[in-house]
Amino acid sequence: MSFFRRSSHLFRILSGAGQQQITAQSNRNIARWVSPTLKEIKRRKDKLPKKPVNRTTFVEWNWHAELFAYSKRLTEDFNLELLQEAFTTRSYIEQEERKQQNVGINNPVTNLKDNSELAVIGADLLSTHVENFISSHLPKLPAAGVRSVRDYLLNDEMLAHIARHLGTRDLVLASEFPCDVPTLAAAFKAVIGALYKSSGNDRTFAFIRDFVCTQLNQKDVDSMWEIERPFEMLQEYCKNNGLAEPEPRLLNDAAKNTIYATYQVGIYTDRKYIAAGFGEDIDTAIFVAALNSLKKFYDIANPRPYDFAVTLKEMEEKMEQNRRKVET
Amino acid sequence: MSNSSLFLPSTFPRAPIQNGLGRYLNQLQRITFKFCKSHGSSKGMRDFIENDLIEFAKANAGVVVYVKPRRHRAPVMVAEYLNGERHWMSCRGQSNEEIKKWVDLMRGQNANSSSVRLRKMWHTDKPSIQGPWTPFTHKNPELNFAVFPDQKLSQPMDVGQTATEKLMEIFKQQKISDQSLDSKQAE
Repeated sequence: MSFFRRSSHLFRILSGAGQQQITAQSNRNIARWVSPTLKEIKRRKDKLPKKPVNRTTFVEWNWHAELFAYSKRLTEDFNLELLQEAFTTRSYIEQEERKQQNVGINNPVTNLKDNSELAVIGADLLSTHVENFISSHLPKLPAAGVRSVRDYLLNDEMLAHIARHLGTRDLVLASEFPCDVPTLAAAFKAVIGALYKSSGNDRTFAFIRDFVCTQLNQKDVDSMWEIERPFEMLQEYCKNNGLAEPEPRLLNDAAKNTIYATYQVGIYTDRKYIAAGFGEDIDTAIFVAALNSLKKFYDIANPRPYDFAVTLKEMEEKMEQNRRKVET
Repeated sequence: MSNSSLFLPSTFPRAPIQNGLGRYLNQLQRITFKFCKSHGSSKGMRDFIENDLIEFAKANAGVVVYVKPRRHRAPVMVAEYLNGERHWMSCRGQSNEEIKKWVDLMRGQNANSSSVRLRKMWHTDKPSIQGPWTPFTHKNPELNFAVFPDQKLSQPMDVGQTATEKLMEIFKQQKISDQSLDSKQAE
C-alpha cells in the first residue's frame, strides 16, 4: 500500500535492521492525507445520481410469479403467455440472437415473439376508446378539440408514466436498461392488445377507462387544446350557428399607461352578453374574451365531472343520444 | 411537529396516477423477507413465515412474496412499491405479532410513509372556486354612469363625525327636548 509511511522503514535501515528490535512505534503508519481524501471521495460518490438497479438480475426474482401478480394486481385475467409476449421487445430478441451467434450458433432460435403485433392492436383500441370517451362526455367539443385531448392522453410520455405506475418497468425485456419512454409506451399498448385477446372488448374498455381516461380528472381542456386564433374561430362558430356577428366591447379598464394596465373586454352577439376576458392591452383582452366565449359554447368552461364508472354499452347509448340531439 | 421531523422532505397527500378514481391498485408490488434459519433474532420472522405468510400471499395475489434465508444475519423486510421506491426495514428481535402489523402497514401505504412529513392532510389543485379578485369584482354599477370629477365620489369613504358636528347634534337634541318640555308644561 503506497500510503503507508516510509519513514519507519528508513528508521529500521538506519538503526541496522535485525540487530535492534523496535518495540514502540514512534509515528502512525497511515499518512495524514488519506482519511480526508477518502472522506471527500465518498462524499462526491454519494452526491452522484444513483444508478437504477436491474431488478431482474436479483436472486429473488421469479418471472412466472411476477407475471401472475401483474395480472392479479390489475384485477384482470390475462393469458400469461400473451402477457409475456407483450413485454418482449424486438431489440431484446435481436440481442439474444446476437449472443447466440457470438457463441457460434449459425441459426439462432429464441422461441420468442415480440410485442409489435399486440402493440398495433392495443394502439387501435386505445385510440377509438379514448376518442369515444371524450366525445361522449364533451359532446359539444369540435373534432379538433377531441383530437388534441386524445393526443394528450396517448402521447408516449403519458403512456409510459401510466405503465411505470402499474409496475411494467421491471418486466419489460429490452436491450437497453433502464428502458426508454417509447419502449415502455409500446409495451403498455401491447398489454392492452393482450388484454383484448384474453378477455374481450368490454374488459379492455374498462381497463382503458380506469387507467388512461382517469388522467383527464381535474385537467382543463384548454390546457390540452391550444386555439391559435380564437376570435376568428368564434366568428365562424357564430356564422355556422345562426348567431349575429360577435362584437367585443370594453367593459372596464384600470391603471392605463402604467405597467399594471388592465382591460376587461366582453363579447356580445346581438346585444347579448356571452363572456368576458382580461388582458394587459385591449388585443389580449379580446383574445381571452373570445377564448372564454368559445369555452362557453363548447361547454368546457365548467364541465360536469367525468363518469369513470361508465360501461361500453352505456357510452355507446350516450353517443347515440347526442347524435340524435344534434340532428333534431 | 417534533424537532426530528424538521429535516424530513415534506409533501401533500397525493394518489399516484389518480389511483382509486377508476379501480383501486394496491401500491405494494413485492415484499422480500430475509431471515436466518437458526438465529434467535429471526424467531418472530420464522413464526410469521410458518403461520401467516401463506394467508397474506393468498389475500394479496397482486403482491409478489419472496423469502430469502441467509445464515447468521438479522431478519429484514424489504417492500417495493409501484412508484419504484424501496422500503427497507430491520425486524431484529421482533415477534410474529409485530411483524404482522408492519406487513400490514407496508401493504397499505404507497411509499415509505415515515420518510416524509405531510404538510396538510388534504390537497386541492383549485384553491379558489370563484376565481381571483380583480379591480372590477363587486364594482358598483352606478360608477358606469358617473362623470368625473364627481363631488361625492371624490370624498374619502371613511370620514367620521368631527367633534364640532357632534356638539352641534347634541345641542339640537337638547333644543328639541326643551321644546317638548315647554309644550307639556303649557298644557
